[in-house]
Amino acid sequence: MNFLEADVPDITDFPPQEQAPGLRTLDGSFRCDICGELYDAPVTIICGHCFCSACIRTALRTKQECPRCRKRTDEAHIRPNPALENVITSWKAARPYVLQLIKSEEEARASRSRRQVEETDTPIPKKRKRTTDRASSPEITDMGSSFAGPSRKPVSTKSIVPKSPTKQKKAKANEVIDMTSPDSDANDVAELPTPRAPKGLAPKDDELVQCPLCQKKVKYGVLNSHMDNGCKDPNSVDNAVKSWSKMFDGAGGKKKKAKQRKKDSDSDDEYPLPISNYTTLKDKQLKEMLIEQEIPVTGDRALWELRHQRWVTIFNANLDRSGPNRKTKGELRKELKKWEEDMTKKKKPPIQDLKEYQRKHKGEFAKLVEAARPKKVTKSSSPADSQSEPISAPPQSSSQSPNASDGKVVDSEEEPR
Amino acid sequence: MDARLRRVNKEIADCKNDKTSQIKIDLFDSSPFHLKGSFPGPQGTPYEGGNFEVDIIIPESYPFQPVKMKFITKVYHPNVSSASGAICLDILKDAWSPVLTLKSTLISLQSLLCSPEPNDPQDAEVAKHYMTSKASFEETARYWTQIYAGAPDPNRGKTGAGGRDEVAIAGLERAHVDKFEDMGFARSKVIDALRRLNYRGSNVAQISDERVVEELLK
Repeated sequence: MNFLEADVPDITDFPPQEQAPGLRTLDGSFRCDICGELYDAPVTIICGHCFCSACIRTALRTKQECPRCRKRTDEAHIRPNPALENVITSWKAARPYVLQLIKSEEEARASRSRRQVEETDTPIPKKRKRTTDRASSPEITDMGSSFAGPSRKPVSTKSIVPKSPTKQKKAKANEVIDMTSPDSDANDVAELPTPRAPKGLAPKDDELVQCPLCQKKVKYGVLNSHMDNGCKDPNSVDNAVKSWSKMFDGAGGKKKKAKQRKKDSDSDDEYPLPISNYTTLKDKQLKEMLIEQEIPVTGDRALWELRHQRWVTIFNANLDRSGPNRKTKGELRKELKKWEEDMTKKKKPPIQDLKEYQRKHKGEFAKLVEAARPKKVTKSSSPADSQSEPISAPPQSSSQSPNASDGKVVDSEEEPR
Repeated sequence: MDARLRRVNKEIADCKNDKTSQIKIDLFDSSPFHLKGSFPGPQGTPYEGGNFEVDIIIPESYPFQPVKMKFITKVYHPNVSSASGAICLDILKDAWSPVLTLKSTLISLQSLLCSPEPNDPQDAEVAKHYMTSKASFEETARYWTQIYAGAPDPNRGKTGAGGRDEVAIAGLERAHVDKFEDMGFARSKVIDALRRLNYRGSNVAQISDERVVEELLK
């Protein structure tokens, strides 16, 4: 039941339309229709509809049509949407800040109205009414049932009070913020979500940084691909040579070789993997494909297929991210591993000790046996009647049940009179 | 928390926050993937006034595979099995799309109650009833709604509380049942036979008494 109380950020973190026009719909329009999260690597398909890259790729594997408008489409039509990706990055930064602003405004209003009430005995103010309304809103009165997750109250304190570690981090930044200087606030918050870079230290793409593996100076923009290639990246001089040799294509064998080398070094990172039809593949071929992608070959063939399929999806989806947001292959492999763990966790663990299991669940078994018994009696005494029961006589029917259980009143149909 | 769980969590929150749709989703037990949905019967139909409960099972590959839904409340409808509650609806099968939600699917069920599709039936017998005599079908559907879905009974004062009327449940005429019962057949058997023969509406004139007796003697 705790899953309902878990703090999953969604549009209801914002107050409804009447109180904060547009905020809910704004947050909603930044969310993928398939997973309901803020777009991750947003892509558009032929009809213009937008989804997370991984979501639409998975959906298209089942059915080749737009999940929203059902227009026929396939993976070839997927185009990254970097503009929207930038919007999402900014919104991720702005979201906790906006929530914080709403909360503080709400508190200020509440204290103001409280003061007003203390000053005058006439409880007229409209604002005060609103706060009391909220306090008695059904979400809260319903809390007795397991339902009202605490984070669901519109602009309640809880929806903003951080629970998850990431939120805590963001909120901490907000705490130090002095509300009177909005400029410094904006900067502070905007820096937070920069992925995988220590706060405020993210170097520019063309700045030289030391590779943590080989200690060589490498441009920050290519650091990830440099490490992915086992630090074999040619230095910048080589790069220049290569780009020139590309220009004078076919001028000589040596240059051709350089070109070939270039292709080897980053072709893997630039081109999407093809979708395979696993049924036509032999075990050995499939295994080679896994090894080629450097992903594990544990488990049986069914697992290999799932794993490879998932890998292709997340790999291709990663290519739809724009440069700085792109993950390294190592990160993708970790993601794949986590996905696999989640998948296997869902399956029930096999029963280890049969006797122990029987003893532990004795009560449940007894209940099931009890529940099954009366039905069995009815069936054996008059099969014809129980057969007709669904329509003519409901099981709860009080007038029918004595007949049903009494075999001699109801003749079975098979017997001729 | 994996993506499926996050999505289910959001969908339940969405239903709770929507006061206008009157769609409810509850837990059966602690499992987040076995839920109970409910919605009121649509107005202007025989299902009006009833509250219909639906068993929801969320498969592992949700939302890329459709949810499994079936009625818990018994429903008299051509596209709903009157015995098991199984539902014949395209979006629960091949027309599923991952952008559909629990709420939108339950709303679709609600509108299925408004517009039966007897040409693609789940329950052939109910569909037959619907095709032969819509008025009689609606009467039965209304009766089921009162009994199983808790709709208020307009004639409660007249008939007196208690006894459920098997004849009305089966959508038959009392006079017809009485006629054959007087020949010495058990009442439940008569109802069963007449139901199977679809002894309703204009069909009555086409089915001879001999045919009925033959069916009764089978």
